[in-house]
Amino acid sequence: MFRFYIKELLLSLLHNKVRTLFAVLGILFGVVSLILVVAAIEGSTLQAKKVIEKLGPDSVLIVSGSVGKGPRSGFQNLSLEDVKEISKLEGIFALTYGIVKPTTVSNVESSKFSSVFGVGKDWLLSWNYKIEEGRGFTPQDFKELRKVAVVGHDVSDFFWPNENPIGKVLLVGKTPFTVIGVYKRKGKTPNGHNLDNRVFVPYPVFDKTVQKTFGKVSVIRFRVFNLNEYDQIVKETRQILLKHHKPDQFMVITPVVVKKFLSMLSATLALFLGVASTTALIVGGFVLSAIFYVNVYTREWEIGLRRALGATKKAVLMRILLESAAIAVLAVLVGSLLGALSIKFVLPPLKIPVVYPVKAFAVAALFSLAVALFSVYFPAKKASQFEPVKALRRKV
Amino acid sequence: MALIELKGIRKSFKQGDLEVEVLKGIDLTIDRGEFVAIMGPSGSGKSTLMYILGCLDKPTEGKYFLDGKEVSSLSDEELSRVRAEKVGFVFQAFYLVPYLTAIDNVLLPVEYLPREARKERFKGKSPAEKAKELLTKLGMSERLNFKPQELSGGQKQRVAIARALINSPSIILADEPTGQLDSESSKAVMEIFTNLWKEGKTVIVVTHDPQVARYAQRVIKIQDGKIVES
Repeated sequence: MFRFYIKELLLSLLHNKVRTLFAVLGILFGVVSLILVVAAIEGSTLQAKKVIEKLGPDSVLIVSGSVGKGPRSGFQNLSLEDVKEISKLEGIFALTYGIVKPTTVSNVESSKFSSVFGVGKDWLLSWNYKIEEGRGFTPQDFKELRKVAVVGHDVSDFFWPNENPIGKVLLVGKTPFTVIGVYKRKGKTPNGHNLDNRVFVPYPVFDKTVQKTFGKVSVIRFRVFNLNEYDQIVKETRQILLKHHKPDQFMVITPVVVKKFLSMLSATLALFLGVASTTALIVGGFVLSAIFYVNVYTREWEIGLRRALGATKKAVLMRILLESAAIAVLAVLVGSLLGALSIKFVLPPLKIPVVYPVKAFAVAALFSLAVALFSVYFPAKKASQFEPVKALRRKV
Repeated sequence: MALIELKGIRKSFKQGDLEVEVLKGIDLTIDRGEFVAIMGPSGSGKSTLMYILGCLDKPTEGKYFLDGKEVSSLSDEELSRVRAEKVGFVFQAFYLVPYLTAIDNVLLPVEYLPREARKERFKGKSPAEKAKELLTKLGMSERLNFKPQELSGGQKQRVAIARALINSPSIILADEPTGQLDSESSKAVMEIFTNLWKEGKTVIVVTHDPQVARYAQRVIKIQDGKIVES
């Protein structure tokens, strides 16, 4: 009889098509938006984690300019003097620095736009660039001001698609550089910057050939041996920099700062969108409630009939709650599908990594079921209180 | 042995500030296996009496014994159980659920039969088998999977009668069962009730139509809330 009960229940949902459709829609939007919101938040958190990973938990990054004006803003307030002072700090390693100029590079046949970096000695090590072909920089390269370059695959594959790029000549502006190494692909930064379209040359050579630096750098980076000293070292670094710079001329970026910033962002996002989607579900609940109120009155005779056939008040209540639960299940199924689709199409343009949060689907399912049961409880209760004799007379 | 015993049954309704007494002290005994027609003009209280007999309504005063058990003091839930187990209703307007086929309509009361009773009533037979048997017996074997709107009035009432029989109730209670039927279908339906009576069922038909009452073995006339002839 259980099977008959379910079949009969589904047939009644099918019979009341319009009611079922509107009730499903009522819940559906809430489900989709809830899933999307959680996915967006999880995606952003994941992105934050990636940023921190890339940065390294033990690293300190100092950039010229203030928030919103990255190292590419053209302001180079930091200098080799700062690097020298920071190098005196104890407990740090892999101190390096760099300056960047987006410019055209070429060989004889073709040219392309890429980011050319003048870098300090430990740059490749400090940023975890792994040499795949050839070699990295040596102290001699710096001492003798050799015009050598380490490039990414998007550069080497562009100019020498089927050849060994090592030893080839690459023109930066009008200066010829010899390619000595190609680093392993690094993909994109979480913000979408291509890490494989870069050309690294020794800082002093950059100064002589690509662009006069006047001893300025745009980025300083180092790592800390002992994480317990991290906060102290960051503090001291700030003090050193404040001797020569105003507070808005540089930024000390640490994983903690990044984390704070990103989690603040995602918390705001979560709050706003969470409130929106919860509201959508609750409004859906009101819609459901109203639809069921109308519905139980149009089916009053049927409820009277069921009572006459022996249905208890409880059976009527359960029956209507189950109809609502079935509607919620349907809405969750369709909503999850639409949610998954919208994750796929909405998140990428927002540069949020695509994640399918299982938790979100579960939360949406439980929440909408709860809303459905709660909002239909009142019309269901009403229906169970119909007096059978009166209800039977309602047949139209 | 008395299946139904009513003692001093009164029923009144509130109409605004007014208390209207519809049943004014009914004493009635109906034995197992009787075919009874309750007759009376509209407003006489016959429908109210039927609803009380069917445990769908409670008397304001008086005692009702069904199968030796007092039911007038039962709770709503207990009364529902009694309806499921002991009463089969047939209505004037058929009351078939429009989205269910004939056989599914017949099966509907089984949903409300308590589990233990279900075992006892369907010994070794599935409810679906029994529904099919009943419909076949009533000449509906060709229309098991028809929806109500595909059936004629007489056919609808046959489905309703099969539905009233599925749980093997003690009483069949029919309220103007031929009220919406032409004379030929009316005759057929009343013959079905006669056959059920012959098989030993207790049948109570409420009607205002003397043609229908003619089929019954005993006629109870009610007027103005009182039995005037029984």
